[in-house]
Amino acid sequence: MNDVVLYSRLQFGMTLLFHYLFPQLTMSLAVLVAYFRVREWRGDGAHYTEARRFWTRILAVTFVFGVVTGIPNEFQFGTNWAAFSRFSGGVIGQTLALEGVFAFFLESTFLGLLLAGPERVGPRLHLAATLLVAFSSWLSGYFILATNAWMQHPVGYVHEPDGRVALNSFWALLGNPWLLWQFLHNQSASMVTGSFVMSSVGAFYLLLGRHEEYGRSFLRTGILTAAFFSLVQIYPTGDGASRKVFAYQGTKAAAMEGVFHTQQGAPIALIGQPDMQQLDLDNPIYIPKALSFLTYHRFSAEVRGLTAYPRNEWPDNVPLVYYSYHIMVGLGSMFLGVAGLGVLLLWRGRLYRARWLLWVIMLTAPFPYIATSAGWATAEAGRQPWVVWGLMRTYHGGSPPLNTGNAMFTLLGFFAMCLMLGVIYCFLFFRIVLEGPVHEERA
Amino acid sequence: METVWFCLLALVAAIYGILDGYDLGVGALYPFIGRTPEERESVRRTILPVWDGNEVWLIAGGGILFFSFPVAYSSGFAGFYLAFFVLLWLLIPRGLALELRDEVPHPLTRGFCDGVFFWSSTLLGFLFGVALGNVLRGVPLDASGYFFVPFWTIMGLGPHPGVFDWYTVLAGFSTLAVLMVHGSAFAAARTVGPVRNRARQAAKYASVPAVMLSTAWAALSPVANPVLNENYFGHPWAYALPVGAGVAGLAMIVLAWLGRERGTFIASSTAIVLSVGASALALYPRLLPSTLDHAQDLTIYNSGASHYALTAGLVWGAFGLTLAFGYSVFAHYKFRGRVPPQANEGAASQAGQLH
Repeated sequence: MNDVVLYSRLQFGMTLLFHYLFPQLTMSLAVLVAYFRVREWRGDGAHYTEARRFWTRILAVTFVFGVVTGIPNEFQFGTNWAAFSRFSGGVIGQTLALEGVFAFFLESTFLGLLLAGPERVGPRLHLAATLLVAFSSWLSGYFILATNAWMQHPVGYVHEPDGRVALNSFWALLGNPWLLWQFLHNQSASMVTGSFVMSSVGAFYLLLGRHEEYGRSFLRTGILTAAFFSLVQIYPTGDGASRKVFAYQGTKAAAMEGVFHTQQGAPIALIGQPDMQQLDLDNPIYIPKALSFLTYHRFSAEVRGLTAYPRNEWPDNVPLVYYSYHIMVGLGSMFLGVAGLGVLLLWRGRLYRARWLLWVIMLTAPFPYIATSAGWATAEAGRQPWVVWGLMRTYHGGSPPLNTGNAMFTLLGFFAMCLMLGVIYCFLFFRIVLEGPVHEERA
Repeated sequence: METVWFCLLALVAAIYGILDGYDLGVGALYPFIGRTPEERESVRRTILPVWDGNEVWLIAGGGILFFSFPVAYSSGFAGFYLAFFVLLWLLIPRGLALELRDEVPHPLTRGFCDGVFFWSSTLLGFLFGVALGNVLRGVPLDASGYFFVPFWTIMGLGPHPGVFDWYTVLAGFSTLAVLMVHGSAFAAARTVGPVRNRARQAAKYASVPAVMLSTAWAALSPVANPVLNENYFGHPWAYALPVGAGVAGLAMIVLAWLGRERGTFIASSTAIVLSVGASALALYPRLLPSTLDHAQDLTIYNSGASHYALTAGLVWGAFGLTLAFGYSVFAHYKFRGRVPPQANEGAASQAGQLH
């Protein structure tokens, strides 16, 4: 049973992280494509038509990967986490079914119309389809985050005599206090990913000296969006999300920050390695009292350390939680720096010629993916040992009839599939980018 | 309230059967009814803008099962673990092959995508039948409420069957044959020229084995699981469903031989709906019968969500499913009309109006 749960965790984590590489780009690109589509609609020139077509192609390919890598996730709740599904299906079945019924149908129907293009479905319907695809992908995000929020901070349920939980308030489930900040933080992160990808493609064209008109336009749109959302990512959404963690999940908060011992006026660790034998950080660099201030807005506030909690309630992998969180925060700060510098130079009119910064912007594109993955690793590894916080341990959530051989079989199968799909996606993505928004002969 | 959700699940299954059924059927005949690249392109384009919406009925159906009967969902998905992953490993490449075929305009990659699309559609059509066969036959549910079935044991019935035995394999072949008729009728109604003719031929020749296999499947179901007779013996009117499905099947043969493609499609759709209905009625109130002891069957009463959850769900579910049905109708209305054979110079020349 132990190995089965381990393999199931690896498989669920891997397939979910891999899947989410795609939706984080489609959710934000759908918004950016809608922006180009609206400019096109207002008659701002053929430039926007070409830009919209180019990004729709990338959106289409990414969407397909998002859809197919998403199918396993709805299944894996049952296949690998049967005891968990049986326990909590009466509650989270709601949000998963809501996502299917309200978001997936809307998304798939109007994506078909969006991809068919205004020439075939008419400009008015095409505009509506573009906006609806953007809306439905965000709606989908809301429902799936409501599911996760319930696992992080269960609300709106009662215990049944048979040991399962049952829903007793639909609106409490959808209005989970955990959910608002988590949703905003997640969506803003998605916007950071999409806008950096767009800036990066723009910077690439400028460095290459091809499609320069589009390069400038992508870079300008991308970097302005990136700067805004990098800021929103840190304040207020990052701040809000982290206060919820401190309020509801003390062990996760302490593991994230690498705080082992309760102290007043706690410093914040910028770097350092958790030492699980000595229960301290090795080689730390601290900012004095900063953690107390950031969390409680008082320099002398007390921050609870891990040792204040029983050891069997600690996350089973404290260093993973600590590093993922620090990677996420470090990268988030870097994005704000890069995008801020970009906006500054754009304002001074020097961005398009500042080749060193174009290089930096171009090379930044993969890092938002790492940051969002690290963020999710923090949220999920930090939730351990619980699958539903305070109600059910992950260890008890697996599938009783599943044996290690079968679990390993599908884990390996998915590993191979993720690897293969990743290679195909990168190939197609770079192919579209190299082809460019306008064909050479037409340009 | 449990009964209402049982009926809604059956309805979702029937809609899924009609919708994804035809695009799986089109896939299973794809290399035969489209010979040249231009013809294949026209066949593919009949389903390209709508297949994803069709498949969502499966995904949403999984979500609705999870929501309404979480115990049946968890037991079923964990017990059919291996079968579900095979299903996934077919659904994923199928979607990619369909959508990405023209991203790289080279005969080699296109040929590869065509092959993947054909094989995955064929195997999926077969496997959905096997899946229904498994649910009807039952699985070794014990007192723990769980079970696990391997791919195969001795290919025979018994208390510990595998995913594949003679009964479920028969179910798989009959489903595949019905979907071939259904899909070729759809393709015939949406194409012109030689493609249309070949699709009509396919519907004609597949319709006879389809009805024969399905009749055998229906007749042998009580042998596989005697409990399936219970609801019929007490209620003679219940025979209206399977008999109606048989009549629709005969109508399908006649219309296929007359070359009435739309009529064939309507008949095959009716047959699918009535067969799903007949299966649901045979099972009711069970969701998953046990091969060990009928006291351990998973029924709508011992595996449902709470009354509050089901009632809340009915409020948004009635609204949401109507909306979803509306989207499906709308998409099919928008993409109606026949698709002529078309040259396809690849994605490069049609950026933005991909499909």
